[in-house]
Amino acid sequence: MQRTDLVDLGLVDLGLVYGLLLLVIGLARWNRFGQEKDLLIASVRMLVQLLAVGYVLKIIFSLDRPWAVLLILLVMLLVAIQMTVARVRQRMPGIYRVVGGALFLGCGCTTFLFCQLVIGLTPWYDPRYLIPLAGMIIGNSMTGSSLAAERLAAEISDRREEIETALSLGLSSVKAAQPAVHAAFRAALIPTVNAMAAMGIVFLPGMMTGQILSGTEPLLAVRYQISIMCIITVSVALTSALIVWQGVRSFFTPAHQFREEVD
Amino acid sequence: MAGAAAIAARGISRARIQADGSSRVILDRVDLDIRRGVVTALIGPSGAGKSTILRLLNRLEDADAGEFQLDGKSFEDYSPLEIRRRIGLVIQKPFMFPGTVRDNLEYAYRSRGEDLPDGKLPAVLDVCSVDPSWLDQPARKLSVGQQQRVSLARTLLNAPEILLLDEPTSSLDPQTAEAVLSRLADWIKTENIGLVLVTHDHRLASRYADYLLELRDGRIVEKRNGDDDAAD
Ligand SMILES: Nc1ncnc2c1ncn2[C@@H]1O[C@H](COP(=O)(O)OP(=O)(O)O)[C@@H](O)[C@H]1O
Ligand SMILES: [Mg+2]
Repeated sequence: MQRTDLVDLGLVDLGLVYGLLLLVIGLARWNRFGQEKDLLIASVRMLVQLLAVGYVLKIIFSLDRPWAVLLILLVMLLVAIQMTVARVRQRMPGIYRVVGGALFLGCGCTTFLFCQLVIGLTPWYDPRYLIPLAGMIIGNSMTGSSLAAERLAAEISDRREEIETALSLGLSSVKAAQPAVHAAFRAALIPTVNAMAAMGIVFLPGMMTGQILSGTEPLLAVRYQISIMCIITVSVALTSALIVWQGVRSFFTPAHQFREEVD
Repeated sequence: MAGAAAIAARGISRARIQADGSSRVILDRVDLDIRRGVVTALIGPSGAGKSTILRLLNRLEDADAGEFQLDGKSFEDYSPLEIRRRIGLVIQKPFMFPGTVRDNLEYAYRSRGEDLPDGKLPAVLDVCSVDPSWLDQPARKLSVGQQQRVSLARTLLNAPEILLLDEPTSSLDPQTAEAVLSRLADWIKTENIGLVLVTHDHRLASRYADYLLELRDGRIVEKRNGDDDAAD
């Protein structure tokens, strides 16, 4: 039972809500709350960015070509890699290679699995499914990745004495750094675990809300939400695991010594 | 091959980047022989590079120039993990892993999936003045001096052929320091372990050293020679 009679949202309606937002900004200024500039900039950014995305999606949907879909996925991935790297404050050798490889493999495998084996998209590149699903997978994996990388670098620098003591006893660098690796992996998964546990109680997830709004039967929307949440968790775990396991190696030389530049 | 040094270091140089970004030569073409069954004491002022030499010998870091040999073969011919196992290092500031004293003593074995050999433990505890009643206590609850002895025992249990000790008695009271060092000096002779004792305490060094070396301005100066066979 699909209802597709979605209420149209015209320019006038859009103008109305935007007007309300501007009113709030005006009130903030009137009362000298001091947030009006940030609010204004953020609202303009949202307007421009979403309009741009809307047009890009429109073009891609109407092109309906595999290369166009793959191109947009690649752009999303590159942006995610860049944002992940930018968020890591600690020094981490070879961070682009580690983060890039992990996001590419982690998100690539899970998106493929989900779209082909679970949903069974035809055609395989159907942009209406592939782009938003990949977007959710990449977005969540990006958060996990930056936590994993950030925490790994911090743990390794905090645990330098512990690691060198273990190395001096003849342990391999990977073994010596194992506590740091485990701590980083746990940290990366915390937001995803929390989101899963709170799902449906604290908030209604965006994808499910959207599907219900556009007329999908609630239980079907719930099934979609559960499966996307599972695949997001798999992707976050896979990406973070790849980052910590590849990342930990980048802190050491093949002779199981700390790399000089980490000092 | 006079004296058959277990470790021969030739032309070792090491520079370090200082806090201000400039590079300073710590070790300047140093030669060093370490023999089994004897105590080689290395003294020198603070900052002379004593700890750096020990880290190079344990391969925690590598020299900029020069070569280390173990039993006539270059360090490069061994896996670094084998070097660290055979040339054990006890760093000055003891680090205790989470868990009990026993967990710490078993640490290296457990990480290799092996069991601690039963027979050795009591003797090693005795040499290191580690009271058996500490075994089931959390290691981090011990005083620094006690931890220093546990970390010595931990490395000794790893059965090194050469033992590198960085200021091993810095946190011990004089009596305990004497007790540990004199028993250790006997132990390495019966077990044929080469001991490198780094200290800034001249009195302690000259008391236990068979060879006494001083590190000064990046070079090693031989102060006194226990047996007179190393000069040629
Ligand atoms: N990790 C490091 N980075 C930079 N300089 C260091 C480092 N460790 C030691 N040094 C410097 O190297 C020199 C020798 O240090 P060290 O070998 O610890 O001397 P010692 O043990 O004889 O006191 C000192 O000037 C010290 O400041
Ligand atoms: Mg020192």
